[in-house]
Amino acid sequence: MLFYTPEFLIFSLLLVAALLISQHATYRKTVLLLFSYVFYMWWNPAFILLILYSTGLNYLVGLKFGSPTASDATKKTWLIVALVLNLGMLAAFKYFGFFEDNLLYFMKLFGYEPHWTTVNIILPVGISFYTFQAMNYTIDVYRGKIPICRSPLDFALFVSFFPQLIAGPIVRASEFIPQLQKDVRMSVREHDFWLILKGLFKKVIIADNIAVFVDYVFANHQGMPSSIIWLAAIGFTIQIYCDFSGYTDMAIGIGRILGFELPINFRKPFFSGSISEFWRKWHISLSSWINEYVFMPMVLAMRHLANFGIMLAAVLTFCLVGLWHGPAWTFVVFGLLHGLAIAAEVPTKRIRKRIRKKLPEKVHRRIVVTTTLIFILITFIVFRAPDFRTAGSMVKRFILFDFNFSITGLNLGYAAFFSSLCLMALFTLLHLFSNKKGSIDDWLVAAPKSTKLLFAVGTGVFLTVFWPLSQTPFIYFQF
Amino acid sequence: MGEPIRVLSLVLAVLAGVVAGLIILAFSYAYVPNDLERVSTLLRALDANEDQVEVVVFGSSIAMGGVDAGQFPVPAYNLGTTGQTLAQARLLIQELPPTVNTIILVLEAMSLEMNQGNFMVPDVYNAYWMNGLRIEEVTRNDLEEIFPDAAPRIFSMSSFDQLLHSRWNLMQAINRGGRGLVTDNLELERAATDLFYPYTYTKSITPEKMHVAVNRYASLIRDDTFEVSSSNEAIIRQIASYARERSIHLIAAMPPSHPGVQEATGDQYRVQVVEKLTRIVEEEGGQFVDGTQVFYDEKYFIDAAHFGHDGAMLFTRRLVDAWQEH
Repeated sequence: MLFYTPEFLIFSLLLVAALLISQHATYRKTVLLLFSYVFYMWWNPAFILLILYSTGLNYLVGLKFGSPTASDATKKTWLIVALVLNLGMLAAFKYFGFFEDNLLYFMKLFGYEPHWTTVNIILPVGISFYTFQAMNYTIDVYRGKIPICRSPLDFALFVSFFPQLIAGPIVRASEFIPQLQKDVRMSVREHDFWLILKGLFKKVIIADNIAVFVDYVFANHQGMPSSIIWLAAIGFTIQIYCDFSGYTDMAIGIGRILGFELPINFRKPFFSGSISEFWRKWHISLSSWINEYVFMPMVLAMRHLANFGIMLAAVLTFCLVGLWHGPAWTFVVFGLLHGLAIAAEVPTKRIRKRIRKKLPEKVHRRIVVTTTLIFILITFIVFRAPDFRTAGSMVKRFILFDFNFSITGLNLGYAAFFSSLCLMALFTLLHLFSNKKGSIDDWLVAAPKSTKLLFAVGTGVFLTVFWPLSQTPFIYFQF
Repeated sequence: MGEPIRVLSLVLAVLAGVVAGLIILAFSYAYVPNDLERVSTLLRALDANEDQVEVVVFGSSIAMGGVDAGQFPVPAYNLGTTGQTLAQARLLIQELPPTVNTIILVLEAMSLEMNQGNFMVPDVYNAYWMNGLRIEEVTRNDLEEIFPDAAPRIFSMSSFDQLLHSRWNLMQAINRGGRGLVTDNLELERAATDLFYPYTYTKSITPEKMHVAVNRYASLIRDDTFEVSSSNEAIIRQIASYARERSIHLIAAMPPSHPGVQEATGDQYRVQVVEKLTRIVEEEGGQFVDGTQVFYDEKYFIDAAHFGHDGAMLFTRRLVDAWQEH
């Protein structure tokens, strides 16, 4: 169920009512766990088996690490078992079809005609997120960074806490489990209200309305001039940001109301001066996870290759990041491009430093932010395109600008073109505002009462009048 | 003020905004221009029947810009609307005044092949509803019989749901306004208000865009075999039955296709279209007009589907001649 549906409202009211019955921590955690399971089963009841599998596996392996008879070799073996079983589950559900399709392709290339029936596996929603989350615990316990969680209730709730279960943020055991060991207290703060409202506005008003235009251009890209390709790229970038960060805002707000602090996932990523900076500000919970558990170990393993090792690690890591997003080569290429961009920062560090010294700081910053943004737009075309042909055709027209600004005969007026332009402009203004004045929710908390009321009423009007007629699923639900 | 109270007041403020939004929706529909305001024009005209109309023409934008109802020697209206499906035509048919003695359906091969998506989107029905049309039981039964999933879902929406749904109008107003500012090849006012020849496009598209548009249009016709979908055949027969019961003459006409599209789909396709539709329409006592050969030159088209003025005059002439034959 989505956060802004009537079902979720009823779910929330029942949850609050249940939590109010008793202040006892164990009771409250049990209620939260059961409601989290109900939340997950709403998509498909059978999926609960996967959460239970992930919970049971990682909990038990964690206990094994704490066994007084466990040697280092034994612990390492258990770690490998856990990683194989965690990633095996992910691979089976998320990548089986991808591997099968590629195998079939290569077999046909060599003249073999396989006759087996292809298997269609339903992708369980959120599997990428809670699998990484659970693995984080196992790896950190193995490394001795965090103590073993001996409470099955606490651990189960860590894995399946519903606000962040489906689309993150990926929570670290070191940050979340200690919160479970304190009193679970609900609180309603004004800041959380504005955060949830902001998230809802970003997702429903901006992302879902722009999606109409973006979907149309990507489906009918032939014959579209470069100007429209640029706008579609910008539109999709804004759409995916508002969709994902909107969800995260709502998840964080709801988590706080329930008494838990979830990590921030975005920090104005479009004002980044390099791709590495972008990934320190975009989907922070994933990029920091990948950095700690994939990139740094790779760099360490390839330290004998010096800078080349770092570059190679960056490329390989980001290919995996791309693949994490979905079982398609376009996602891998998206990751590859980002990996190459980060790798390129290594040998060019001195030159970039020299250029920076020669230019005024503001000018330099604007140049690097603009070039980074253009690169991001290009890679998001690849990310969004259904296939390489579409991606190639659109990227070509993006780069080789045709200076054709005519939109007659393209039927864009029926594809929410002008309303999308208005929303993109609105987003840009709000984003620039928040860059100067700080986060809008922080600003509103400090604003005069009349401003708050105006914003609240205005948001209510906007939500009623511009709520899209068809629901677009959260983009990151498919990852 | 305690924080929970403050939050509660903000929640109430949002809800007040929602109520204000609903009020805006209720009152704005009549004043905010949208692409379906033509529906309002047609319903008012049929209700008033100032011209004592005898001939009515249904169809999509191809009919809107392809038929000049003023060429008929008797009062005639062009009731075409953008993207009009046969289901929408059936809906409008319930509003026809008793003076109507001829119904002309301008058909399109590609649309006739579609089973899914040829009913009507909720926005369209909402436009009719917001302009006062209330579906009659006979019409509702007829359409629900053919579209057992889609039709009940739309027709059973409550008045509140319809009001809430009318918000499509406000977003569309932005797009319509933007289109009017930026494009100089549309006569939106005429398209909305003209009952006879609501010709919308004022300029042909460029040859490069024409080439892309023709290829795109041709690619939508998947193979060279034409089959009328079961739902479209059922609606044609229903409309024919309705017409027979009221002694209204039914003419179904197939307009010419762009030469590029015809080449891509092949003459065999065109022949099948004519044969199959002739059979269906004549079985029901109607008259089928093969307009596919009225002209075969790119100069009569302003894009891959719509006629220019000259093409419209030629096609209208064909329809008038067919009507006079009867």
